Amino acid sequence: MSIYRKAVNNPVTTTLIFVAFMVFGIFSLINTSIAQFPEFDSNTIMVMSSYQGANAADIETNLTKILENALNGVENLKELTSKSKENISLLTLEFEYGTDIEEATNNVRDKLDMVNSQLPDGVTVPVIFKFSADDMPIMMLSATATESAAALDKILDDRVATPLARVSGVGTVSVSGAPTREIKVYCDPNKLQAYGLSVSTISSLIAAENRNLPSGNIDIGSETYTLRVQKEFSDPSELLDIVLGSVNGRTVYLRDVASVVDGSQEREQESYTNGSRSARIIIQKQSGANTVNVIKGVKKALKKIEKDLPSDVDIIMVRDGSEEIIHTINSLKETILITFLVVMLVVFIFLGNWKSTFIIVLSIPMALLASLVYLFATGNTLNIISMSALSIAIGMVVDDAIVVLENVSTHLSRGEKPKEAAVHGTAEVGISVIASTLTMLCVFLPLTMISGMAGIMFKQLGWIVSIIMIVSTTAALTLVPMLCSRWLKPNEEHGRLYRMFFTPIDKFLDKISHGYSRVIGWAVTHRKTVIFGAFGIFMAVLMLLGPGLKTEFFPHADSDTVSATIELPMGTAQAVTADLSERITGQILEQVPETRVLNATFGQADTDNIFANMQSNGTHILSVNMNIGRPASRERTSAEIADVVRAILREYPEIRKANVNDGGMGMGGASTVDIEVYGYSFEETDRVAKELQAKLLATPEYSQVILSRDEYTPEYQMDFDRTKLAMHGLNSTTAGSAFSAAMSGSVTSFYREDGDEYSIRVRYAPEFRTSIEDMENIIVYNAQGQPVRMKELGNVVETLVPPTIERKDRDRLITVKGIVANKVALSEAVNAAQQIINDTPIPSELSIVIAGDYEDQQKMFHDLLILIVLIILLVYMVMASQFESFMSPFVIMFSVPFALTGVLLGLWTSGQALGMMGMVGIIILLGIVVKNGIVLIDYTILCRERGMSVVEASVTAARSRLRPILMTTLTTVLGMLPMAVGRGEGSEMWRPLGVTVCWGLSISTLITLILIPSVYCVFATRQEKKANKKK
Amino acid sequence: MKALFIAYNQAFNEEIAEILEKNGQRGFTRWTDIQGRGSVDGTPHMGSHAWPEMSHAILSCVEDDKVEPIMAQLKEADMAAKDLGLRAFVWNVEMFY
Repeated sequence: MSIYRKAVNNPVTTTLIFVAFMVFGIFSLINTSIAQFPEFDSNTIMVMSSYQGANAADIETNLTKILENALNGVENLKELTSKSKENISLLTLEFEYGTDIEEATNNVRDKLDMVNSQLPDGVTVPVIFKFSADDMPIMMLSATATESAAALDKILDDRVATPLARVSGVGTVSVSGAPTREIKVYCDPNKLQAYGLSVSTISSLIAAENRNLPSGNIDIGSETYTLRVQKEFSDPSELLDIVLGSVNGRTVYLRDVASVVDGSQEREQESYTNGSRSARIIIQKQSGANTVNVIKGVKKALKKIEKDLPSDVDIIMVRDGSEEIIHTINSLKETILITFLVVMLVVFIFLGNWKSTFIIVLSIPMALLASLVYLFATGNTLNIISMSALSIAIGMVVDDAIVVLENVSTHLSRGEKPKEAAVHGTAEVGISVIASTLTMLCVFLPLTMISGMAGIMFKQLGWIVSIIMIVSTTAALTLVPMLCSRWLKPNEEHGRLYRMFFTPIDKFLDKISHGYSRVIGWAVTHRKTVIFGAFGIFMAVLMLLGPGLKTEFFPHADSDTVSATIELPMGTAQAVTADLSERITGQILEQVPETRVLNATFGQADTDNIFANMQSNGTHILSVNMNIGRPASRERTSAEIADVVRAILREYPEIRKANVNDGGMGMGGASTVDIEVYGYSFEETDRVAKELQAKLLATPEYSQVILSRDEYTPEYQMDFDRTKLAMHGLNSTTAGSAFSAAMSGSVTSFYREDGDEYSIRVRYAPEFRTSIEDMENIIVYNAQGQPVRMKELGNVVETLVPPTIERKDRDRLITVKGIVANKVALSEAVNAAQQIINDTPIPSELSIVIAGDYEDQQKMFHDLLILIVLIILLVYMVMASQFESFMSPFVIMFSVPFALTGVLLGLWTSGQALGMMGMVGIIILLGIVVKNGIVLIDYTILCRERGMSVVEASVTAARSRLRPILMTTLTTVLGMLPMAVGRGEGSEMWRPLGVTVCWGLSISTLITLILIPSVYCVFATRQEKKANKKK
Repeated sequence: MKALFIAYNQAFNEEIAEILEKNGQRGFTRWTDIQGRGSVDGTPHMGSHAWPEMSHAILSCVEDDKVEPIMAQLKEADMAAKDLGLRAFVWNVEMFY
């Protein structure tokens, strides 16, 4: 018994199998997490090692080069970059996407082991870090307080950071920017000298006074007591009473030479939210945790935490990494719903029967839900790619059901019993339905096999569409005939309302059919005109629009955050940065009224703040984070607002480097073009890079251009003269530590209060640390106890520190990073850059490469082009075996170039660039444009087999197949329309996909409906003539 | 005793056997999925790409008095769905055991 008859005869089993699918699907839908993009492993490993005392150039030759040579041969390595700066060498190994990072780490470790013996003495063993995009912060909070401001750091640490870190999936919670308490002992150097004391003596005396000593046990009578000396300070003021020694019979107390200040650290990160002092809380997730779920957990925990906080402490959300994801996925859900309704409407209009419509659209939720089972089972997420796949599939899943239902209806109308009509009607088209699904699988299954970034992105798309296709075909061959046999009735009587509504539609469709058959009648007799005309259209569009085609990598999505990192000249005092921060934030708040929350943080980060230390920080670096609200709530896009911020920053000549970004990390932000200038000489590469920077900035294509290399930065060095040191009986370590104790202080003891430790820092009072003279007057005691001033030991000299040496693939380079301006495509920016490079005289020893997003885009386009060729071959092969002929599929393939014509026209009219999603659209088109051709040629062949002439068969087939072709094409095109015109949040990402498929399919259908019969006639006539000759 | 040969579209399927049964005719021999073509008009039933439909056929030996009503009902079934195709032929049975 055939599967069709089995399905029809066992309606209960058939129904329940599909109900089971739906139940699993709904279960999966509830349990699948959402994310922005498919998850992928990090592909970067960092190797860090240090060589104390070596400068950048020494590090480069003695450490970095050796490590680079060793690591260069690691398998699957894509890029090897390095940074050599004073004391430190940092190598970054970027692997091909999809590489098993554990294995790569082991390989790296092996290579490092091999090279360890060649490293200079004193180099620390290289440490391997696995860095991942997951380590990026997912959430930024800001806390403000009024009365509790002084204790904010402690409150946040104890009551916010600790409980938040316990939330499942949270990696680290770092608090910065709030004042950190410190007990400061400020010494007066003159008094120290008078009493013969030094900073380190005082520091060690404090440590000696501030101790609790366990002192054993004592037995008294029948009891054993423990003994303790409990002499830790219970109040900072006790410090003042410490006895430092005695001079001339007088006791010297600490209060005689120093003052004790219980306050906050002198140099620390300061954070301001909307102008008032605040703390910044940054939450990072654990690798592999789901952003949305983690943030959900954090928010739930926060609600509880906020209740327990002092009433004046306010916690404000600066950045919520989940919001954008949730809104994007919601707007995709909306798109899917609209698509579903549109497709349903199209089917209803064509069939004029709600029962048939129901049978057909039933396959949509069924297939979609079944594919969700895959997502859930493989631990994937609902993301832009998987949801787009669902949306794409809606228009296509109904095709099989339509074909089956149409044929069953034909059988019914000839008087067959419903059951028999269902079985035979399905059996007749079964093979061609399976064949057309196979062509679709030829397109989508290869997508699951590509490697690299494209592979990560499109694996899910490939699987989802393939699964949907398979499920919908199965449903079309079992469930649909079963439902048809139950619900469809031959020649149903229709009501008046029905006739009023559908008679005109029917008439209209008949008219189109009629007109179309006339056109075909003309076309098959004027084959040359048609073929050359079509060729002409193709060439014309290609010539006119092809060269102007803009390409990009990822579309620039509107985001709810804008961030800026502003660097002032190295060594700018924190007070100056604070002042600038106030002015800049004031101006931003004034010019960007969309700002909801503005957080500005600057200053040297604490050493225990992981996140802050991963980013560059210092007194001269100001980082600004703005929350500008959801795209729907404002007129200007985040890119426009970023431009406003850039314009503001341009007004400040003191800013050395400013990097303004909108959006989160990675995809979705503005595209970048990296021009890499390779060359050994600093001067030459600097000069060329600066020239390129200036020229790029002058073009409208770039909104911001940054150089990767820092400048030579000034610093003061205490330069000791060894002879002078020896004369005074000192060595450089003793002198050096005295110098550093005076200036940055010495911490040897902690003040304990309520279980927390605060450093006790002894140093010169601030008024004695203001000038070079002050530094020269610092006193160090030699072994004889004689005071010696620094100026007697050497000079304070001003020097320049060379910048970090950056290398990539074992060559020195400087990168000129250009951020592509708003509304400019990546390809335009690259062209502009190329033009500038060509116009710039470049010394022959330098070489210039354009990298960045452009390089990634080129690689991906290359991958996808190979894939396209492969897919075309596969599709051809499947069709050839279906028709058992080489000629027919060749004729059908003529519809492919016109898909490209449509894509070009579509991108041109909508002013969009061809990006990754557009390429996916083209790939999808390969599968769907041939479907119409298959239907047309299949029926033409059938007509010829029934005895018609070639021309007659072409015309008959064209007329009778027009309606199903129009119907399946319209469901696909209109099904894509909501994607193409979507205005929802995040729609920038999938709009190009909708546009390419809509236009490609429409234009190709229009042209091929006329061209294919003509081309077929040419080939078939020739074949016939050949066959006749042989006879 | 008459031999009744009925060639019909596969879509009639059980319907024909049911007609025989209704008329008290139990015995029959049936061939399924066979090819055939009408002499005058109608679509051929060849099971091919061009003519995908197929025929079934029944040979049944019936009592003389049952031939008339069976033939009438077969004709009725044919008329109800003319496009499907059903033909019945009757000839004498010379001998049987």
